[in-house]
Amino acid sequence: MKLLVANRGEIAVRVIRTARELGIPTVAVYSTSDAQTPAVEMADEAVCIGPPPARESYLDMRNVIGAAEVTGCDAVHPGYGFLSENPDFATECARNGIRFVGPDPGVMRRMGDKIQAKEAAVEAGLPVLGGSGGGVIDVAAAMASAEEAGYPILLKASAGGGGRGMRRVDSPDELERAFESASQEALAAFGDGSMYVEKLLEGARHVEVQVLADGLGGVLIVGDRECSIQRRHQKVVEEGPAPNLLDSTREGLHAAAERACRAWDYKSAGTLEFLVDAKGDFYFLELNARLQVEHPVTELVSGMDIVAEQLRIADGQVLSRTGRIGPNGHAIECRINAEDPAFDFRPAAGRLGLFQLAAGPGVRVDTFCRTGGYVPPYYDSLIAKLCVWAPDRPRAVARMQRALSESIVEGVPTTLPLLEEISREEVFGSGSYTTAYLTERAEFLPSLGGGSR
Amino acid sequence: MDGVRWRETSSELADIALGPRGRLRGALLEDALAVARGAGTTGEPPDLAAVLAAAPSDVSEEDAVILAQFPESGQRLVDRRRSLLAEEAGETGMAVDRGLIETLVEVVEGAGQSEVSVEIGGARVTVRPAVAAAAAADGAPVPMADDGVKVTSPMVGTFYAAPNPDSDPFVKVGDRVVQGQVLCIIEAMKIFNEITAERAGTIKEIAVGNADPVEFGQTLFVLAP
Repeated sequence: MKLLVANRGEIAVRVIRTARELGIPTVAVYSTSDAQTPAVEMADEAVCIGPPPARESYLDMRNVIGAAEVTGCDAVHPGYGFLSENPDFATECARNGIRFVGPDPGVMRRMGDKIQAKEAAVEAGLPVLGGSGGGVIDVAAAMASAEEAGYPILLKASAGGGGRGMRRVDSPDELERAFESASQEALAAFGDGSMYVEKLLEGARHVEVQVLADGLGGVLIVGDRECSIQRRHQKVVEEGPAPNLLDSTREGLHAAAERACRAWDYKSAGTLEFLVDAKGDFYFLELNARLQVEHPVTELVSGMDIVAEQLRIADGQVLSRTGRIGPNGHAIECRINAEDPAFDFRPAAGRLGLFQLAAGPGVRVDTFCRTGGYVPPYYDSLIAKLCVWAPDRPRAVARMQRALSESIVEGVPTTLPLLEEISREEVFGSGSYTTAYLTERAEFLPSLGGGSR
Repeated sequence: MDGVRWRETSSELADIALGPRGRLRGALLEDALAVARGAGTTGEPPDLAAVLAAAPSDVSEEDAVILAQFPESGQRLVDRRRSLLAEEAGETGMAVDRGLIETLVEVVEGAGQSEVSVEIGGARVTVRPAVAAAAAADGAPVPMADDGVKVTSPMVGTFYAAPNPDSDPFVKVGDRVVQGQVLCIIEAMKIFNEITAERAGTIKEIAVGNADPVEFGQTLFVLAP
């Protein structure tokens, strides 16, 4: 195998690391603004695929596949974002004799459409939240579904993601305006304005299950993660295994994930996202048919290299182990984003000054940044993932506090201060927080404009 | 001028005059119809090379064909299109004041200057005699110190110097090329993409070998003006 890494930033570095350990030659692709980044230096070869705007470089299928062709690559790892969940790209790779490291295009297509994904979940016997089931064609249909499910509800875009095309609706008189603006937003962002209605579950937790499937009958439930600390539907801190989860709920989640993998003939790495309510009942939200940002959490507690397994599966081999893995210890990931807390966390680009993240026992850092490096304004604001591992959760939280206090990033504003504040919060320490956490605690967190406790 | 093009144009005009392309709004003069009823071709094709040599250096092949056929009205059409293009470049790229360009044209024509270049808000405007205006913005050919211009690859793929393995290369060092002329092919995903000259010039250097892989932004040719 010769592997083209069709991504940038920390995930390109992450994938190249495993490939190098496995003795697989790698080719990095880069836009002109990423010419001097570690991925370009670490890969055996590198090909410039376009100017900085992603649609002319990292999203340009012709140039990405062209780069694989001219360097003789027979496999492409898409990372996350960019082309990773694009079934047309997976199809084009196959048509050009290149293995796509990910699921089959058919599954990607079905899971990319939230309405179809929900239907597939019902078929596989997964619990889903009440609502319209399928799409709603107009305000009247949405109104009827909302009455049936009971307010509050969420209006969601079928093609949605990252909170776009999504509106909370508390009463019937808000529905019409919410429907129109959400549908318009979805149409502008995804080219598809179809909407559906889902019951809004308040005070719920966002728990997800990491799976690996080889498409040859082998399924591995690698572990679960708690990702409730979110800001505008963007995850900030993730940990695994999910704390304070009833044994019966965990068992139910893992069994549901395995059932879904088999029902959908799933292949490669994937993540099933669920909402878990206060009683421990859970509901399927969506399947992320790719490697996820927070996968290191599960790698730290399972001992598995998820990228290595993805490469095995793409090579037609069976998984190195199947079944379920009982977690060893506890891991927490902090997303360090180049964002300015003083301006509602708007992305900040620029030249880095001193860049020195924590090290020492139980610390894992995934980044593409270094002192004097450049954070370009064209892409995602994630600059580093600081992960800690410890034998149990209290010690992992203490290690997280220690690691964050050691970390220094100069030159651009980052989320480091917010992460440090969260790590010292009592609610976080107890492990019993929900998706409402950051909204509820904002007034107490200085970096979110609140006063100190 | 290419004889095929000449014959095709003539026979198309004859078709329009005589009916196969639909009815015309008004009647044609008898002598025009008589010409159309003739064999369809009239006279000898003009010499494209001579027309090109007489025209300003950045006239495209397409425009040269028009000039060859209709020396007078063609010139007006070509001028009009150039000024529209220049205006469009001003609108979409940077705001270039049309009035200013007209003043520059007067300066060039009045003072017998060969060329005037000014920078306005990051856009460079160059005015030459007989050329309405040419706005150079980002993405234009990259000028080099020794007056060469790099032609860079707009994509990733395999460079082919000739249309197929048995034919001659599209261009050789020393060849004079016109704007829009095919210089090479870059193949990616089994699609053959023709790379054309953005401006006229002489091939000074071919920077890559046949069947070499090329990446975005890599220099393929150096053109001397």
